[in-house]
Amino acid sequence: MSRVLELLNGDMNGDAWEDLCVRCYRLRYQEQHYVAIPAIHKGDAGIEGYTKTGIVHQCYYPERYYSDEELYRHLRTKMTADIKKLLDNATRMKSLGVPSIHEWHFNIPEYRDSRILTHARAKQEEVLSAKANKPIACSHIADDFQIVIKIADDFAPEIGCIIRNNYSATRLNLAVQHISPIRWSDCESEKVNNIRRKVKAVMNIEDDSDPGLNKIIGIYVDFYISGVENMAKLRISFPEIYADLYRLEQSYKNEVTIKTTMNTDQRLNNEVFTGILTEFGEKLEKDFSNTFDQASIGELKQSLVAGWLADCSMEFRRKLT
Amino acid sequence: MKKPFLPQIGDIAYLMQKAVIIREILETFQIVRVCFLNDDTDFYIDIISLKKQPDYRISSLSINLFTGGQRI
Repeated sequence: MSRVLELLNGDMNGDAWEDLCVRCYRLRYQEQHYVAIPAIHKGDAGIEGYTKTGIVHQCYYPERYYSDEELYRHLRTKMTADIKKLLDNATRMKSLGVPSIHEWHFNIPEYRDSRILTHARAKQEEVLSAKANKPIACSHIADDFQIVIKIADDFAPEIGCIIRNNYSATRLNLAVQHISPIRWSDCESEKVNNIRRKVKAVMNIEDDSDPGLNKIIGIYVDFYISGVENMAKLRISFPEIYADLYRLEQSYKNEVTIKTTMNTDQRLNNEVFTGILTEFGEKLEKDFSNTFDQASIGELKQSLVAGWLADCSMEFRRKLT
Repeated sequence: MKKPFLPQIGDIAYLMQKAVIIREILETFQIVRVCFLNDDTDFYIDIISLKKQPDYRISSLSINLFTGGQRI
């Protein structure tokens, strides 16, 4: 039975999400003279910021993990409340310098139920209808008003730039909940055999049926699989961060090959391996603690080491038989 | 060099902002088996993923939110 890759959800809250969204909009809409609206004095009138071209945006981040149905209901409730604020705050909007509003963006991390798109369309029609019926009260709404749902993925380039340049306290999370039983069948047998050979050398065990040995092998197979998947996701969505990580991994891999090859005493395999883990972990923390959260640093450390075990960058001396 | 956090079996530590109990330590491999409080599911993580205290200053976004445009 295959298991779904269970990612540990990141730690994000509404304030941090709002801060991140404002930074994304500032980057993307710099030429449209984006203005952020702090919600300190008299509130923010239901928007986080606006551009001179008539784009406004509002953010929402769920308080906890919700089921698909729960998430849809929370998104719907939030959108309904904020569209009402939009309609009720014409005077406040104008006093803040908001021009005629052509697009109202709803910034959310994700949606999983397409009914929110239907709801957005319905609210859009409601706003246009209100505009038609009360043109003076809705003079802040443009005739071509649209509601646009923007998710985290829509701002991957900006988020990558913000994280990579440490412009905020937000990090990427790619930590996986490695639960047994292990996904042996998802890994080529050659890779499994490579991992097995080397873990046996590190643990100084010859018996293939040893339960401790097989537990460790299984753990590293799982880290290997998650590593391949996470690196693929990074390469697609955050190519510059991927390139930084790839460069570090490749340069340290060469050191690993030298360290393991030069060790001629199989009794020291354990010590050499532990030394590699410690040193690589320190390098990852030094170079990427502003990019990834701590759990992800640990995940990367083990998954990249699993890659070296599986792909023969590491070779340990074995007992001669 | 920063002194590493070395928990013992039975200790409570923090994975991101969530508390976990240490169930097993695989010292050579720097891997620990933990479970969240009030949850029976054990899972394995690297020991440097853990901290003595939660760090509420840092927020994180799951890479699962990013599909590179390949929405299903």
